[in-house]
Amino acid sequence: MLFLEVKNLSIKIGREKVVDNVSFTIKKGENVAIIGPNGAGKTTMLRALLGSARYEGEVVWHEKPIIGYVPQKFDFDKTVPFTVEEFFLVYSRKSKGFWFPSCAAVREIEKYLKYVKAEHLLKRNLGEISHGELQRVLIAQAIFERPNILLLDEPTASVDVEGERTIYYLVKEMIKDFSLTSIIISHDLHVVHDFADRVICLNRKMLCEGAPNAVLNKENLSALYGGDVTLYRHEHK
Amino acid sequence: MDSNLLLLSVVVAIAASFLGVFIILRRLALVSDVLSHVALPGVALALILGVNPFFGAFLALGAVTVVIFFLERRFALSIDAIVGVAFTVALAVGMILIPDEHAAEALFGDIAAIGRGDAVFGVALGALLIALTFVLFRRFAHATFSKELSRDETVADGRAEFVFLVALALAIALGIKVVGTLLMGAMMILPVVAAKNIAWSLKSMTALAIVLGVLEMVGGVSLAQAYDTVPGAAIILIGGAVFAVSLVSRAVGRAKP
Repeated sequence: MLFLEVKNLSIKIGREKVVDNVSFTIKKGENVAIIGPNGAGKTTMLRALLGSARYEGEVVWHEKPIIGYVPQKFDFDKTVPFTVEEFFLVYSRKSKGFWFPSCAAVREIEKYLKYVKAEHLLKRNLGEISHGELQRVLIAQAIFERPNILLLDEPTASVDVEGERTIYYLVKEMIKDFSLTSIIISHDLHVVHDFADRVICLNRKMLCEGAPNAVLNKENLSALYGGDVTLYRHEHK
Repeated sequence: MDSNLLLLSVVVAIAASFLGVFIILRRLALVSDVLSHVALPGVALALILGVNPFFGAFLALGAVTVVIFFLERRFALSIDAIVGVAFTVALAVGMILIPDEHAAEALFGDIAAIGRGDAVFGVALGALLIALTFVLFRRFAHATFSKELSRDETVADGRAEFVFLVALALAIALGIKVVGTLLMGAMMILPVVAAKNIAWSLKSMTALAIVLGVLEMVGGVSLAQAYDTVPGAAIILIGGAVFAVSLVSRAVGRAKP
């Protein structure tokens, strides 16, 4: 079943066309990875899907999207006292009452924090927790309120290698447990290989599309990133 | 102190520190300070025309904040640059226009000169601002804390920002009679930065800011009456002292294992 249809999508930032006539479809339950070099328009395209960037062309959702979003970077003033609980209450789609949240609402937040093994962070300040912990909180927040599609923009950009594995493992579990459709932007081709049913190569224009095995070959990657890029496969057990 | 004036100063303090939370969250501390000076030409025109300076201040502030709101979006200028320009122009216009005999009152406020009608109006408007901030707090926080997580709610966030700026203009105009144009900006930030030093969450920071704001306001006004000095200055001095104490208590708190 078709979930999302993108037709002739073009996005300009100022006078520059950063996404140029891109079309693709995503089926329900499919996990799609978008790869491409820096400045290829990946994040901008995601923002168009989120509804926060102007675009030409069509973005058609065949089912009302409830989007869970994990941003590439989450900039905020770390000196402001803002607890994880308050973060959930402020950024929940429906108001759970900021000043006096119900016990049920707090239990719900705890449930999702527990899911990413971060329940001990409920009363901690966002500015005081580690990058890895923050990333887990962002992921918990993204699945809070049960989305039907998850958009992940390089969710491990600011995390060390160990943290990166944990986070991808969590995301993978999550997608399975909640039977989500997902779009992930990643630079890590191994992750893309493990994670995605389908890959979209983007460098302003769409350069290739297909199953990871078919797409992640030397010619495509060289065309996409320039130079000599090869994917070395590791067998994970 | 007259109970009407006491009530007015308490309401102004609550409204100022409540909205001030978002000024600090947006790192606009100096912007609000500078913005309060924009009221000066409005106050000057009102005095010349013989109307209530509040309306002059509000119109000047309202016009400038709305222009800033659109300039920021249209030309992607940073808000401090735009406010810097608007402030100096407004101050120059105000200095040319303002009648000499009213200059001190416009700059430092004169709580004793507030009539009963003004006080009632001020309390009503202040109460409205407090209620508005309470209800829209989550929305303001949403629009403030992170642009990245705005999702599909950017339109609502834009609207919230606009409402916030208008509320800010109203709050500054409201405080001008009490503490004057020079110091109203500081009234909005001093209690909040002190609260931020000792708070453990956004809610506790807000509550503490309001309590400190009220204490500083009432303390300053009483001190000014006792020693026959300008209330605005007394309020800010107390605010500065409270901030220093909060800083020390934070340093001590951090030093503990």
